[in-house]
Amino acid sequence: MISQHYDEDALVALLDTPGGEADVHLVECGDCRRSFEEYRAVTSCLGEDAVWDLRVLKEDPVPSTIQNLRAFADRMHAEDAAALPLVAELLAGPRDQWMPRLMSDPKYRTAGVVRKLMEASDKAIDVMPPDALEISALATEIADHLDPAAYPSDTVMKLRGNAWRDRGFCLYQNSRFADALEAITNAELVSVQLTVSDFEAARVRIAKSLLFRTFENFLDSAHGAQLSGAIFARFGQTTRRVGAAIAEAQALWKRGQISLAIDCLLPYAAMSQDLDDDTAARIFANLVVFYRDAGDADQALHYAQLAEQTKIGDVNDAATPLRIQWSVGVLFGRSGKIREAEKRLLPLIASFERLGMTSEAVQVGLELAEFYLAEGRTSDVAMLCRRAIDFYVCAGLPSTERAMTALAFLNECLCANRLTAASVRHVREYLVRLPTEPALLFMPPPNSPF
Amino acid sequence: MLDQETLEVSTPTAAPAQSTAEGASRPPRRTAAKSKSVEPHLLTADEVELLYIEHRTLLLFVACRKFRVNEPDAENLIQEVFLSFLQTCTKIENVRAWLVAAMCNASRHHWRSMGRTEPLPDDYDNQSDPGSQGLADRFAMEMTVQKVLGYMQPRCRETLRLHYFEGRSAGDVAKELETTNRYAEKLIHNCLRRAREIYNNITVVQR
Repeated sequence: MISQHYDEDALVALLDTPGGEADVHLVECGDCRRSFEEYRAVTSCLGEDAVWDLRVLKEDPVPSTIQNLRAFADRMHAEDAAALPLVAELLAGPRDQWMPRLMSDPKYRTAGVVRKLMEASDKAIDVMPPDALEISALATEIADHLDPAAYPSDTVMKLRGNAWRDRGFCLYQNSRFADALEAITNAELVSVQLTVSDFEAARVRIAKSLLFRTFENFLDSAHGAQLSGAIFARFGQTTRRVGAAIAEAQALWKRGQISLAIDCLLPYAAMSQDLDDDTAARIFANLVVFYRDAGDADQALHYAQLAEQTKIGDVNDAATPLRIQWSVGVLFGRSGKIREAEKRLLPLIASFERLGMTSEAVQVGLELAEFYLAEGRTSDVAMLCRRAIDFYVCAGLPSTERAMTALAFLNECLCANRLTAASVRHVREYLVRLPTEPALLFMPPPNSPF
Repeated sequence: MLDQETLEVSTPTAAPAQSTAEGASRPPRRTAAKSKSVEPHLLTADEVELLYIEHRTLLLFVACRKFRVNEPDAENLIQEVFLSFLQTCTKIENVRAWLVAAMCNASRHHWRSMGRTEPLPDDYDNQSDPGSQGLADRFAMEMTVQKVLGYMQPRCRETLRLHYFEGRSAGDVAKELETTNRYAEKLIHNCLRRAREIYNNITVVQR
């Protein structure tokens, strides 16, 4: 029951009362709280220098600025349009011909060509990383030799910084980490000279933070990501800000500072309704891992469910949603909720099989077998083992023979009524390693009956 | 897919939502108005002109009043900020926030290039809390309050300045205005109410 609303005098008096915002009526009454907040916003502004300078600023737009901006936009579009055929010509044929072609003809050396090359490298990076790398080399070669005086403002410097950052990314994608760091450092040196340097510097710093992580320098990685996040926040770039927070949290997690990593992401999880689905799902997915490693299965499960429910991303990637469900199922099983685990894991076996992911299908089955054993459901375990053997026989994989040895061991244990969860886990872990270590021989676990 | 910005693997498509066995409450999606994203390098000359007209006054306020840059230099900086914006070959989520932060950046750069360091505004770093009000919103509000003060009677303005800017008590205000404590208190209340009224009128028009 809300008592009578405060009048204006009472609200103004509360502004000067220490702890006024905690007043019981204000906490309960939305209308009064809104009025109080409005007053407080006004008085908080009254405390700023800027509001007391009452000289009138000329509010009319300046025609010459408009003219300059329009001219710049038009010039940029014209350069980009002219660059399209030039880039197509430059990137014709095998990539070892591209650089000599560029060096032999100055017509390619425009800001528009640099921009279009960066777009081309962005497209090539997922399908042909070495092509993307060579394209980024062309872009930096041109950007480094453009005359800054031929373009207005910071155009050339900004382009140069972007081209080097892009090259750093391509080098990273090609696993040339030391070269990537050098390229990113080049980008950083250029970016700090710009009139508007903070945003570009933050973009470079976040890339550097990820590189530091590759070098296992997690402290600098976390610090760089934190600095970038603060800049992205100031520029109102929420998705990038969250991306930086995730990078920071992952660096902290890799340093073993799990509770700090969790603290880093929780505020963003709390505001997930304001984020796009992909960003929200990335937060949830990271929290699953952090809570799992912190030994808090309930929270891990909670965020796994949220991640699972958040529809996002690349519609062509059918495997990863299955993997998320797999994690959720396993988390249920490990927290003793075997029915829930079963409900999720059983259909996954067929789903992985349909995608031709035999190894995953078998592993899911064996995870489930472990949970069944805990309940003494040996006939169900036997069914899953038979199914696993059938998968490998049908798949005819190079690893089939060794995998069959491991699965035969399980079968023998079953027949002798000596199968344990530890044996199932041992076989499953062996099968996980087998695709990358095909020469690995199966050894029964210590204290095995066979 | 790797995100070029963060070099992070983005989370891929999840399966269709299923019933939650353990009652994990799914946060409602996108309840907040989503700020308009743009790709600056794709903007036409007309769109650029509109953006300039829309944001110029706030940017001018930031440079001139928050960083004390003179008006002609501020106009040049606005142009620099827009040129930088146009060359940002990436999606910008919140244009106004980007421009305001860039204006702060350009203003500091301006003072550095003149061999001076200008202290940052007190409210420049109020960004650590993820849910905090943005810098652009804050500066826009200050600009509006400045306009509010322009509409007020000098005595009212002076009362508010003494109490809320200089932090003086009602008793001090009474002495300064040569009146009684009780009347000074009344004056503070009435002037603030008036300020809020004008503020609401201005912002209603803006909305």
